[in-house]
Amino acid sequence: MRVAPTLRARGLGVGPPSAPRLVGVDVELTPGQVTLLLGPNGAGKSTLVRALLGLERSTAGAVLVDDRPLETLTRAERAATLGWLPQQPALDAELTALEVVEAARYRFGEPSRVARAAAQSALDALGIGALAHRPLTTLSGGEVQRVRLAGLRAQQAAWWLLDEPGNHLDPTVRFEVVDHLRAHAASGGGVVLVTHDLALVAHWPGARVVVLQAGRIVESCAGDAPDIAERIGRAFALVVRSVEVDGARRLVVVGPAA
Amino acid sequence: MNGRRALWLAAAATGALAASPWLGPALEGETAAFVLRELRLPRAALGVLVGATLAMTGAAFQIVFENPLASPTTLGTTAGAGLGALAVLVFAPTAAASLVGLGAFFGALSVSFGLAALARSASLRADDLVLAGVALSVAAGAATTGLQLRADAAATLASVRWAMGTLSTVGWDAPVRLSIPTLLTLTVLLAHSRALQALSAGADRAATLGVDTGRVRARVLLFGALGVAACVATTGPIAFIGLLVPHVVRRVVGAGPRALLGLSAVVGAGFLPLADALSRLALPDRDLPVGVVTAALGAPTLLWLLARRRARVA
Repeated sequence: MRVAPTLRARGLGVGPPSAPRLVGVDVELTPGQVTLLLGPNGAGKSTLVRALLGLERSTAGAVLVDDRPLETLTRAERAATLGWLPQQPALDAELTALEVVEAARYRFGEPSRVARAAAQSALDALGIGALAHRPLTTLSGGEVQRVRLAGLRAQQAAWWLLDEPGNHLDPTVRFEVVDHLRAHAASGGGVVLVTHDLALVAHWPGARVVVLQAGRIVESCAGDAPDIAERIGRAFALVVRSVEVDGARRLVVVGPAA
Repeated sequence: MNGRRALWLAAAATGALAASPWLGPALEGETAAFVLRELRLPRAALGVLVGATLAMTGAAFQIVFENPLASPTTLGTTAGAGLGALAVLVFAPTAAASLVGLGAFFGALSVSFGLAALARSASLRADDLVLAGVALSVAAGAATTGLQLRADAAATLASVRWAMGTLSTVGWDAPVRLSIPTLLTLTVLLAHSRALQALSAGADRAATLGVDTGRVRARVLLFGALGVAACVATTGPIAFIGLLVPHVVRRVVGAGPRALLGLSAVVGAGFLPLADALSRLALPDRDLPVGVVTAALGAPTLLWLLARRRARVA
């Protein structure tokens, strides 16, 4: 994969002034790194992801891909730059795993034989090649999420933007998802991960943490900052402690702040 | 897609089509060849074109509108055609039948063009578009009723007759004429099956995969409406094919758009001629509207498939 571009929001605003959903968001996201997007419900995490994808009309500021405004990219360029794993249950659950992943090859405009082969190898890479002809409705939550990841792989976008991919998944699958994202970042790709899972922060050396609250960025720091527990605690109004378990650092939520 | 089931379905549709000209009062005597060549075969050909077009358009509409109830009937195309046909019957009572068809054609197209103009703005949600289609449908229906009040009994009766839908035709003129717009519609819709596959996951998701969702929606709507308008202008509205056939096909072979569109056309092309032949069998001396048969056969089939799935899930 060619080097992923830098993804930047500059003074980004979304929503009418009376009820803004994002206000003056400035953030520079670098490839090769995982950015964890945290924040309470309704803080604007999904809105920011959608705005970065060009799915929300911005009322102020801009999204820049290597200094190019996002709107100036062609549809194909955009699909080559940004891949999305949305949060909401998908409408395509009646399709087979192979058909779902094949759809992610749309931007290549290739013959369907080629697209199907690429989709099959993406499914194989996720270890679910045998499920290719099963409709998503017949798969478990973990298997569906693997199909979605295979779709991201098949799209070969530089950036992966994932909206709470670990929801409703058992811990084993959750860590498996983490491994795939880490591998993508390690190969020079960019990853933005919306999550409520504070445990991920410490699990992820070298990650960047961005915390949103009421549509604004209230915290942006390295995931291994020494005072990360206090910073996150402040943003969420929670008491968060950093503890060591078997030599590894973990964040623990003690309770609401007094 | 389930390949073996797809083959079974295609074989059944082909069988239905092949049997349809031979069903009905026995073909004997010197008129037999004429009846077959000039009446039953053209009727079957008309059924193939109309059935395939209505069914494939329904399948494509259900995907782009993200709604299982989307079909040419629910989105106002049929109501627009009815209004256009009646307008000709009322304002030009002496007009030739072909002019009634023309009125239906433009009525159907103008409703669909209005909807397509709305669809171009991609910011409109699919649900809103369906709602807009229903609103246009209701408006066209109300205008039709209003016009019927002005019409004399003959025109009203003619429009009611027309609204029943029939494949009756003599000779090959109608099927040949209809083949041009319908084949265009079938080709264009099939050519969009890749985009439709991406759209199956919703408009936002498709946009991030590189699909120009507004344009695909508008094109599918326009070319679907073109074929449907031509069909309705020729045969009058025929119920249920556009709504039911795609659902039956989806339950049998899955929702992959390429197979879904292709097989919907094949099943529609077999089902409508068969339904027409059965209507000939049911009331040999009267022209039973084929829409009655399609509804009588189609509705229980879908209910049965739904119930079977319920049972399997439970």
